[in-house]
Amino acid sequence: MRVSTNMLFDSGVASMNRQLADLVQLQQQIASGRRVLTPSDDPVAAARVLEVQQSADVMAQFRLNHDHARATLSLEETQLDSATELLVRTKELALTAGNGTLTFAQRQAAAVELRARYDQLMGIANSTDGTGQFMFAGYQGATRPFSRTIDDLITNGGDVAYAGDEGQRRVQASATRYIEVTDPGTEVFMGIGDGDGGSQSIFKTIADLVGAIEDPSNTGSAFSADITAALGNIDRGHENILRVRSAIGSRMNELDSLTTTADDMAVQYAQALSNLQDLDYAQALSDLTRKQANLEAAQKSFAQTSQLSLFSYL
Amino acid sequence: MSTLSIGISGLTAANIGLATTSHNIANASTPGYNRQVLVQATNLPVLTGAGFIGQGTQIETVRRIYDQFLSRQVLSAQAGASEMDSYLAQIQQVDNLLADASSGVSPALSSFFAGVQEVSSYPSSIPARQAMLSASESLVARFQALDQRLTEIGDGINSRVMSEVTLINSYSSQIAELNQAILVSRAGGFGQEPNDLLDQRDQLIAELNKSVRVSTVEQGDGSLNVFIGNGQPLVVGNQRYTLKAIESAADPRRIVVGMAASSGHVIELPESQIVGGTLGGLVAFRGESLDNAQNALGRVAIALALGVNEQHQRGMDLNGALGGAYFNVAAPVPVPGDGNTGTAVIGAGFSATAARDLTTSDYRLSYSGGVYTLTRLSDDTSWTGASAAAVAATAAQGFDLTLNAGAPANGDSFLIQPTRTGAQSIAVAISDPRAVAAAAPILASGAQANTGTGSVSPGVVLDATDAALLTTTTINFVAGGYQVNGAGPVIPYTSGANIDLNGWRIVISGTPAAGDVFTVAANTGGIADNRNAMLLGALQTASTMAGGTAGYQSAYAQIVSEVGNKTRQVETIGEAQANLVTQAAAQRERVSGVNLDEEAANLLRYQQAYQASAKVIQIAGSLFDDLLAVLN
Repeated sequence: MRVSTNMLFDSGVASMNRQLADLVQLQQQIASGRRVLTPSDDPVAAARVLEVQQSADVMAQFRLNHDHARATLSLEETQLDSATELLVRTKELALTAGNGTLTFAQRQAAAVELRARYDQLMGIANSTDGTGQFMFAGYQGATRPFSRTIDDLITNGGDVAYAGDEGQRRVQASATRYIEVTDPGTEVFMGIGDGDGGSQSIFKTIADLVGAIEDPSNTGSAFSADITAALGNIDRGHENILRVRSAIGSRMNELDSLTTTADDMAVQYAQALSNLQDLDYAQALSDLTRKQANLEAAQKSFAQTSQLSLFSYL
Repeated sequence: MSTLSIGISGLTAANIGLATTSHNIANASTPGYNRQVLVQATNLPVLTGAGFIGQGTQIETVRRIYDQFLSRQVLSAQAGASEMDSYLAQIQQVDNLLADASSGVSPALSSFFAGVQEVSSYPSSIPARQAMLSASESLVARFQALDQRLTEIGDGINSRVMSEVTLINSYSSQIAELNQAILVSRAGGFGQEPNDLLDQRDQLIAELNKSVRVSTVEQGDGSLNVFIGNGQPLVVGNQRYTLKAIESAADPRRIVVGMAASSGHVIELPESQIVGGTLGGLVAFRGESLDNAQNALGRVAIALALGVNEQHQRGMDLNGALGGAYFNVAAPVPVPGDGNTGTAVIGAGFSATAARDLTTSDYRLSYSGGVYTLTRLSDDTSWTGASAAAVAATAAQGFDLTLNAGAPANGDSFLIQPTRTGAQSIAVAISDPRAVAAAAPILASGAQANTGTGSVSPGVVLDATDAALLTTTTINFVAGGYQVNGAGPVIPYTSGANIDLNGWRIVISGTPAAGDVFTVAANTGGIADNRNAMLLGALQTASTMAGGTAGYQSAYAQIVSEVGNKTRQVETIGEAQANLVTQAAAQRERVSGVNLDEEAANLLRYQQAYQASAKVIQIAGSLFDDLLAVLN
């Protein structure tokens, strides 16, 4: 076969070029630790990476939402815990005041503390979250939900008005699960059965109790009946708050299990991303050595064959 | 004839042999050089009584070793390889652009939705709203930056097309000149071929062929006619036709190839005529991959803008007003064709189902004989209708058309690129954090006095344009069902069924008692409401695009995968073409290339022949001396 001198040089240079290009690609992969440097290296993997990354981002967002939900629910739980203790104390005070051996003057001590408890309960019901929003006003975050004073209730009768609404804020905790993180004030403090077919607020229960204690004409069996009714109402109010707290507890439990799932998923997504785009170093380093040897062989053989010329002997 | 003249003929032949060999050695690495060999033959012998006596040698011609078939093979392979090379160089820019996942649209999209979720967590927080707006600005900037880069690649192609056209014109004019020179040389050369001129012309054609695939036809007089595409003449004899780089009539931002007619008028060459070579690769890349990538990116931007706007307008902002548009995106502008003779002005807009229906294709609207035809250019699917509006409605491709003014004439056409400017034009429409509509404008609630176990969902907005949306409406339960606003027919109640009225939807479940009342009213003051923000957040994973099969992220991932696949395909074809070129060139080199060892041997051969002939002359001279000595 006839061969031209140009061919010897061209093909030698071309093959060394090819080998060098392979080496550069390998070197870039090793330097970056990524198998897929551009989408063309593995188009399917490159697109898949974006989708898995979004799933991972969404999961991380849910994880953040869990923390937010947990913080919000904890805040509500703390307030309701205080409310529970307050009602326990209120019941003690009602029992003390209802002690038949006390004189009218003696039972006023209970009334004084009950008034303080009323204000404290009003504070709890009007408490705000970290951003200054009223916690128990539904969606009406800027509206103080409860405002009547105990004197107003005792003097003018009726029940407290609720200035909020029935809105219940939810947080997306998974692709399909939305968890309630607030409870409207009506759910917590109002609508409590009065044992007589009607319903009233805890505020009215305390106001009625204080009204009964402070009424000098209210004595004997009428007073005892008022105390008994108040005790029943306090118990039902107490139970209602415990019901809300138990709902909060079960939401927190669900959040914990969703968080565990989210953490597991995050690990899996990280694994999937790594499988898609990370380099197998052992393979890459062995390839590097092999290709290096190939290039060296090509260079050496080119250097030798290109020196062969008849002119050297003329 | 004497020994002396035989010796001289041998000396001359050896001399020409040495010259030709030296020429071969000197041009061993000249591009396009074909080695030359002597065609040597004996002189006519003289008949004598002793038979035919040889009369020495002569050189008939110096021939170049050239195989037209092999050369054409190289040309054909080279045009393909150059096309793939230039395609690859362009698409690799897009490939690299999309390579870094952290600078693409994906992370910005995730950040935007993270911002929405943050507002959902803290609906009344101004900092959270501001963060969402900032994330939106970043997202929009990312779309614009990617689009800008694609536009720059398009601008780069414009300038490459211009320089390729200049190059092609320079080659074609040189070929025309060489045609003339070859014609003259052959006429004055007693039928001898001007080898080196032929080599030069072949080399120019090889270079021209790298710019655009050419076909050649040799004429009887030795000149070569050169054509591009389907027989578009570039050089005929010593005449050449000039190509021009001109602005496309359909899109002035695009430089295309035109041909100057003899009248001076420049006709735009269809891109199907520009095949192969660097120019063919540029045009193919622009028409296939670049347009598609820009359209696909635009489509994601438009679908996102329209999807978010639709949901945002169903919400209520911190000021208690209904949500406005969250993003702005430019409506497509139909471009009238260059040769339109009618007065029609066609307008376009996105349809209500655009996010779902938009494709990445461009469209052509043409008019003839009262019939409008809309053609999807990616696959030539077409629809017809009696008006522009009707044909767009029938086609349902995500855009509406209207005849805004005038009337079309037969043969008029309009180019519609619905998604081309989407990524470039997307912008955030609001700047006041309070204008983010995180809340729903209505709220359903059950009356405190209700005695049944019925509960009502807070309600969602289906149609924010309903005039009665915010009108307080009650659902009053009576025996056997409920009445709306306590009057009218009794509607049977099913627990958990949708109740759609006045543009909203509520769901009542459980067992309400007769006399129970549920009220749907304006959510005035509902600043802690995050219902609409949650619905906005749900758009992140909703399959709203491509007929409901793809979300924003997967539609973007599809661009990445398409570009990656195409790059890979071009790479593979390019490698195959380059191998073809190598093989074809090796075949030609085997025949026509200079082998220096061979030339060294020839040098020795002709040197010895020269020395031997010189000896013959010396002997012929001494023979004459011998004869003179005898006479003396």
